[in-house]
Amino acid sequence: MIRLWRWFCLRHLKSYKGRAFLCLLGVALGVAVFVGIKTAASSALTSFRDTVTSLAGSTQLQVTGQGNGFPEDIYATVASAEGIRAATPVMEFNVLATAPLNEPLLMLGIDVFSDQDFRHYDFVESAQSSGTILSFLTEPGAVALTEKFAQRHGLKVNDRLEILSGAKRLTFTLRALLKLKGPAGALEGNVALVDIAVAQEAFDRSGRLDRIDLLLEKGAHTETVIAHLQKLLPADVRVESPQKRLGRIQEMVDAYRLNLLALSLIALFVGIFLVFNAVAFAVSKRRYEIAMLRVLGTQRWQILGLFLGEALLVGLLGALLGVGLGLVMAKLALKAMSQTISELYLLVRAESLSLSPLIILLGAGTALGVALLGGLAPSLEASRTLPNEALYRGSLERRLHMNLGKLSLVGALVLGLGYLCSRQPPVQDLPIFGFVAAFLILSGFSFLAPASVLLVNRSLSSVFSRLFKLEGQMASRYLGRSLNRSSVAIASLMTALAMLISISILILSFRQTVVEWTEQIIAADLYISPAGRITGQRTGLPSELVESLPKLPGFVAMERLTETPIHIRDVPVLLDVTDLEVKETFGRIMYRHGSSSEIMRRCREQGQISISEVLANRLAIEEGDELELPTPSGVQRLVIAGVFYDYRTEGGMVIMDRSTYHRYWPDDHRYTSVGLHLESAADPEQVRTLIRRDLGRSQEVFITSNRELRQEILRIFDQTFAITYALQVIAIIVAIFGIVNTLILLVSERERDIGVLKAVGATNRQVQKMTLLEAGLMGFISFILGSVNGILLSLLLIFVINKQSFGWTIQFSVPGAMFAKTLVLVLACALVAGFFPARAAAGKNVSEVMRME
Amino acid sequence: MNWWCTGGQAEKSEKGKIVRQCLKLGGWPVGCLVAVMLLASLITVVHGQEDEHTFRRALPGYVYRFPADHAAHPEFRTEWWYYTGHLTTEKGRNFGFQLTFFRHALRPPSTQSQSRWAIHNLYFIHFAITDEKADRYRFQEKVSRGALNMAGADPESYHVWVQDWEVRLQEKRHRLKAGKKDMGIDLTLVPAKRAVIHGNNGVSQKAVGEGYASHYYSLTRMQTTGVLHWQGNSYEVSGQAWMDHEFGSNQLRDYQVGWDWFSVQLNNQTELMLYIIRHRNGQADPTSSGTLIHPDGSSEHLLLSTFQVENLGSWRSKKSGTIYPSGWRLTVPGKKLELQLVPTVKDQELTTRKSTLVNYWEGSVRVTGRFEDKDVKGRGYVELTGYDEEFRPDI
Repeated sequence: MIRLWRWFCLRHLKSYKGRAFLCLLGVALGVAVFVGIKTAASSALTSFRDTVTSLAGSTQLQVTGQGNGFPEDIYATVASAEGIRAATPVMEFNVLATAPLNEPLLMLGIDVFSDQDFRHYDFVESAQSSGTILSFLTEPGAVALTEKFAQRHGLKVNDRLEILSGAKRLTFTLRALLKLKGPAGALEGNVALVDIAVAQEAFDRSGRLDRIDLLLEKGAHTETVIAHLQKLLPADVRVESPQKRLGRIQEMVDAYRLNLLALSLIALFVGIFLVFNAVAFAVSKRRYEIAMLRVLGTQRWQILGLFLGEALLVGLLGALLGVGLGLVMAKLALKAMSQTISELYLLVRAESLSLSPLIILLGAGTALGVALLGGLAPSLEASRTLPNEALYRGSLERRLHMNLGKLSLVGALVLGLGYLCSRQPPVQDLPIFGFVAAFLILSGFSFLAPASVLLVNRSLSSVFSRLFKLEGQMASRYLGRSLNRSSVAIASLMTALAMLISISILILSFRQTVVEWTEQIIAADLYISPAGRITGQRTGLPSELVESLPKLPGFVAMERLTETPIHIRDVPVLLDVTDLEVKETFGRIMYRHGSSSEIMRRCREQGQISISEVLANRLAIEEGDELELPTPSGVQRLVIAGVFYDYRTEGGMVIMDRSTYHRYWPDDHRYTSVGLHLESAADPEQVRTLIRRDLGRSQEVFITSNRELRQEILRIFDQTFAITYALQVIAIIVAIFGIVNTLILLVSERERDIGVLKAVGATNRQVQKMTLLEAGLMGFISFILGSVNGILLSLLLIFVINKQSFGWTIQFSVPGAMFAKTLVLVLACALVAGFFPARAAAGKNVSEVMRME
Repeated sequence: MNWWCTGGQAEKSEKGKIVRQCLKLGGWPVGCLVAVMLLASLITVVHGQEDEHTFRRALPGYVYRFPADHAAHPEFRTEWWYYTGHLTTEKGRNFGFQLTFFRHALRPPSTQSQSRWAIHNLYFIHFAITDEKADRYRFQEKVSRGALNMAGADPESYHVWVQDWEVRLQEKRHRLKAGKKDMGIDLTLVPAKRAVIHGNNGVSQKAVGEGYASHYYSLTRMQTTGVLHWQGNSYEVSGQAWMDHEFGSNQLRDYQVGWDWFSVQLNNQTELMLYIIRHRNGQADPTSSGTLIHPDGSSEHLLLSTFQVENLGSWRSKKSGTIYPSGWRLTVPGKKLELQLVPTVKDQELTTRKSTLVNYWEGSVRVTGRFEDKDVKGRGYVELTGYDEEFRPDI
């Protein structure tokens, strides 16, 4: 059997190297995307988990506050609470080492004495250590850096380190080096250590702490201790285990990853068609040989095995290539991925891939599965070949025609099922049913493809024959008759196009929505924010700067913003505090119901709040409800005046007037950014220069103009979706391989007909034209079907999948230009794809192909 | 007397050596960092003369006032309050305890800081229990920078604490609290004799030279009652304790490696305190001295020439590898006093990982002998420091 397989299949694959390679590449690409995204995501997540766990050390519980931390006296309360064995205070700052270093650093302010029970910091030996270690504890501005970081930048003990924290430029002196172990090994060594007193004084945060780590008494019950502490602490201070914090973030990353993975499944779906095509090609090419084998006594199962074996070989090679490609892709995607996590959740520096055998096996398994699934139907068909049947071709086409009705019925049923799935609620906040529906829609359309091809082809045939004369008529007829092959190729191109179109509609609609939103929301002429702002840390602008702004020439008003990350019912929410009176005069908020100024007035005068649509969906609350906010002055129940559209974060948002904020957060006087409104005659550039001049060297801020800010938002938007563009390109490449394969297959199956045509006087040019026309027709039909399919999918993406996983409202818009561009692309690709088969068809030797008759 | 001044003997080159030895294991744990930091700060005292203006030195002529002098003296750099005692349960089971409170200033008291976490003083507590019957010994330690008043030493009235471990004066009673259910004490100590001021003219000289001294007094016999928590059981206990209080700014010289210190309470209401400060070459420092306290509370200063200390054996620590003397004969020929001291438990070594990373032996001893031609017996405590010097790599 193996010898037979080697003779029968390998010989075939060898003689069609190029084609086998195309097919292999198709499978490989699907696998590559799958392995790439999964590996990148899990590597980013691993590095994230490592960061969290190495920073936590042996910590069992963590006490954390909102953006501005909490009063330090809480430490004394917590440390002496029942069930607590040890407690240590921590200050955390995400800072930026200034040029030429230009790297983010996690700066930790610790109390070495109480920290000993939690973590192990190893200091590096050096000649001057002992004196400098003392200064590390007592000297203002003393810092310890990891050896790795110091070496990379050529820093030595007693050198200076300049950092940017928010708008503040600070200078530290390197007094000790740390080994890359324990917490110092987090973030690939981008960790700086200072004494807690040094931290409080340098960052001007005396009296406040960011975190308290806790160890429990032996035998203490965690939940009891949490409940007990929560009773002792103000409402805005949380107690939870590092694992829980990790788990919550993991959930969010999972959702992000699932969305990308769903896209890779579409690429694999196209891969199934490709294998189907390739095996069908092999079967049809060797129908005569199969018949001979059958005549010689080969069993059906052996024939089945032969072709499935061939498919498996393609799958195996595809898996190998795919995994390799995937890892390369993962390396590229990792940076983007860790950046996303950093922006959303916590500073992460993922540099190395963590390979998971499971992911690789899963990817390889998927490749084999895809290959088997794609190869099954044609292999079965080959095994059912009767020895005498092999010598005639028409019989197979007849079989498909007879089944057309049945196929279409299945297609309709699958589509119906898809519709039902699209109406289902999310499973654990993930749009699982939405993805199932997407798959069903794609499958349903594929089942309907043969019937649709027939239908479209018939309605087009008169136009086509009028346009392209005899060759057009012939092309159209051929297409109708070779439905078995052509509909598979059309279905695979259709799937790829549907994916392209649906995602394009999603992104373009989304982008359009965001553009309109930015135009409404960004009303000020200049925006000022701290320059060293990284991840989560909401440091403020220098208050002297904010106070000096009204003296600027052309000043009309300013809107001061204070952002504070809080938690509402375990959901992370950004609390946006602003001067609503200014916003009311100069801009507006896009509310889903009600008048913007009326709602803002109620927020201002009656202390009500506005919440984002995302938050309203997640908490299942709406206008008029009350929301419980944890504040330093206890839990406050505030009425929701309005629900607004917002596209800034995946989490929720709450907008509150400054007067309300000061009532409940009396200690927080930070301004995280300021929007400046100028007289229409004023020159923003000039004002920007003036602000910069007054600022001096100790501080650094970003001053962004209205236009720049809008552009920046769109830049971030486009960057976020970059990976989906890459996936589309891959799907198109895969689909074009499919077309090339199919046409080659069709031409080879039609050798006899072409021979006859040539025998009755058709010129080479006519044969060529006919084949090209057929390719074009296939492309066109794919486009029509793909468009319908794509629009349906885009509706699903926008109104089900997006809504369930992000909760954003996206205004649906169908971009006509995109369709035109796609059509041109498809036709061009189809014609290019048809060129080689057409040339091959024209070059057939009449006598050779006729010999069989 | 106490352990940390061992650091003070190290001169500049020596400091480097210790640091290097400290590093043989690879990195420094934070405990070592603290130890080295203390070391460094003490050396700064010896070599950096500017500190002499910022901390007060122990000079002759100091006049004690009680109970005010029980409380903290922040104008001096270092200070400790030291309690040892022998307790007996109602069923006659014997325990020893040691509870020591340390204060060490890193900045002069006049320094102002914005952050309440800025280190002005470091506070340590060492706490040990000796279980004679089970031949067991355990110690615990606490260290704190005293932020948010979570540790401190009140200069106004006697109260020294690190979190819930504390000593405070309530009228004439000293209240001690330390530890938890598995190992803890809650004791009340009432002095049976007046305070004994060691040395001459209010100062206890520790080395030749002005200011190399401390102010040092003891309450040599305190009636003790209270509760002892040990391995899950609580015992009503009673017994006798000894309190030392010492404060100064720079005491030892760089040629001094450590000391042997003895306190003895005899059953004839007499007490004896002796200390020998050892030089690097093994010689006893001429300032080594002692005090003999009579039943009526009167006392006599003993010069080195009037007494002998003879080691009768040795003990090697499995934990640190350090070899300590174990068993002594103390003789004061002029007073017709001859005593033999035997440790109740061999292993009473503190290997302080958290607070200081210094090893020392501090343990209860049984005392027998003759005094003025009569048989006497009693209890005592012995402190041995500076023996781990050569073995530092083992830390």
